[in-house]
Amino acid sequence: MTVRATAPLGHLVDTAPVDEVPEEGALVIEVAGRRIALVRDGSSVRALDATCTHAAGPVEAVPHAHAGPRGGAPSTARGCLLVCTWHGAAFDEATGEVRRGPARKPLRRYAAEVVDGVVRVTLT
Amino acid sequence: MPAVDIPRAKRAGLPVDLERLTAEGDDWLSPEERYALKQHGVCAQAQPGVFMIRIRTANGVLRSAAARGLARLAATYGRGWVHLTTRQQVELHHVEARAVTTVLAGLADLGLTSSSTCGHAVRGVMSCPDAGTGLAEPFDCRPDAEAVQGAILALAPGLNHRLPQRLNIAFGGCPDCRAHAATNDLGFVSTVGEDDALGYELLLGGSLGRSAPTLARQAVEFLPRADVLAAVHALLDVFCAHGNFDQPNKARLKFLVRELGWEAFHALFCEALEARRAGDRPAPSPVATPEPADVARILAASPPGGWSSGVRPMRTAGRALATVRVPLGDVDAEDLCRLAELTDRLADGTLVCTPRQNVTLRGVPLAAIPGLRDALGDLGLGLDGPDQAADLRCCTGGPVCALALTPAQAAAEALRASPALARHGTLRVALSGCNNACAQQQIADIGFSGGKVTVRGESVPGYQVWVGGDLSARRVGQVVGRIAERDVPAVTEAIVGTWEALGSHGERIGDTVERVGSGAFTAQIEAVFAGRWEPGPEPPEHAGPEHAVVLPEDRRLPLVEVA
Repeated sequence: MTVRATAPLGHLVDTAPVDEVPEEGALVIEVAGRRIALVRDGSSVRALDATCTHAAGPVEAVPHAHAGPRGGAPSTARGCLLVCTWHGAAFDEATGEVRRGPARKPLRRYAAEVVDGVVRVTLT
Repeated sequence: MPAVDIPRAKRAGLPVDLERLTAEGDDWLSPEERYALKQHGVCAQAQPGVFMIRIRTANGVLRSAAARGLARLAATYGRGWVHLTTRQQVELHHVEARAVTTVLAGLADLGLTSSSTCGHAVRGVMSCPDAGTGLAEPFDCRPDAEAVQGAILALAPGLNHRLPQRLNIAFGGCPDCRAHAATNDLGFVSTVGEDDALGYELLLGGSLGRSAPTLARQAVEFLPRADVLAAVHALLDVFCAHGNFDQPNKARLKFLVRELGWEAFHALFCEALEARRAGDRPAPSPVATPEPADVARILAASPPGGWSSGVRPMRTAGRALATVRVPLGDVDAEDLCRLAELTDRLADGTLVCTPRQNVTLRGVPLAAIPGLRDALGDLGLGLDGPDQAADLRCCTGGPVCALALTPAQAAAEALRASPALARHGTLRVALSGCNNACAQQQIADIGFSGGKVTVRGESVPGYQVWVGGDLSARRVGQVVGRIAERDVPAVTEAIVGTWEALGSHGERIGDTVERVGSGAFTAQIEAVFAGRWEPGPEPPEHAGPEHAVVLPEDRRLPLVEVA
């Protein structure tokens, strides 16, 4: 994980060059004390909170093939889940919805856009 | 970090500078000062710089305003996570060192406290969550439990550094809680004596703990309500005078009972009780003796969907106790606020934490049950009972708890999808991330205690497997073997399958184990897990030393009173 920037909440934050966001998986960075996962969506990028909604464990991108027997069917062609490294809760990388407990609440999504080759995230 | 010398910390009086903690964080804390935080209910986590804070409840009750306030504290300082324990307490986690005192002050503003909820202390007093409302209790034990809690909190500043170990106290009213009282160092089981006198059967010496799980024995057949506080003080007198202060791992009351022998221990206690009875005693608060419940009249009405373990009748006809199943005891701040709204709207304005890590709403009109069920469904929660699958107890476990060795909640989550448990919703399954008893795996039908276990000569993260616990039969489970973490679901299927094959109708797993012997279960597990499991408990040299309990001569002190 890379610490990128600090910024007041509610501000736009330029987080990382879009080229650093992998085609598959996610780039997890820390911005303003928050872990944020940047996930590719074609030419654009999605940003989701990368802290588990169950017990606040760190969430990382894990290919479906390694996400455990209850990971379920892939939700995207790239086939990754965002998985809590503590208790194995899994979230859809596109929507943040829970795919496997013990989490019951989805990951928060942030507005994100690519501006001049950099992923800009709106922290709320 | 060097190991903490707990006796040394206590002899020093458990000093810790909370103002400095706020100003500088926790880097400067010595192991003894870190231990001393426990008397404030502040306990180190595995993660550096953050702490768990355990909050007492009175009789398990959180008023809705307090629940909302707690939710605010969780959202602001605890990353939104609230964990309910098997002892009716509430835990916040991830509280940064500099925020600890702010949270403690916030709790005080809510009328709550975390005082003496960790370490060697008299922990939060448990009492029956149905007290005062249920059909099956002799009388309402809540006033006496509150009186004991108040007395303990008043004593705590001068008591904790003198206690050899922790003490657990519970009051039992309904059948489940009466049985559960035997797992405590001091258990009060409500009963009606001659001439309709109200009092308690007094139990002493119970503890599940990290070793030698023991159920309490009857010390007094009938203790009048007026003597409840005297009994608590008498036990403290004996424990402080004779407990194994310098060997904390062998200092629980059950070890003192073993070392002295029951007769000698009982004589000491009775002597202390008589001395305490001789002093001035406040009269107990009045309690109403319930009229025998007219069960037929109460059950003449039925809630939509019928009665179940999650919707139970109250003495007040037309009202119900509704128990919300809280998966793994975990809610978030938003859930807690919503539950507070629900109890204000549909119940009596309180949330009652239960020993099964659930929450009970009291006084719900029968007609409101469907609305409650719908509202809970919106939260991803539900009422206890047949519409819920596995009944699981679970501690926070690793990697959060500093003591845990395995992520018990991950294993528990895997079990929520267990077909075997779905077939038997009344089976009680408990998982702890270490050998301590936070999930009370020793009294579950099937239990798991996490740690490094030796399987075929290799030390791996895994679990010791307990089977057959059943408090209704005063039965503690036994360890049948050890498995790796990944095999928790499969071994559960094997145990349940064996029980289904061998059990007579109506038997609990413990009954079957006792009737046919544990060998049948271990043989089946061996057949399924050949090469992936090891029978029997972890050898003592791996599990930690088991010392012979020898009370040093200089600890055989004359009986002294606790001020």
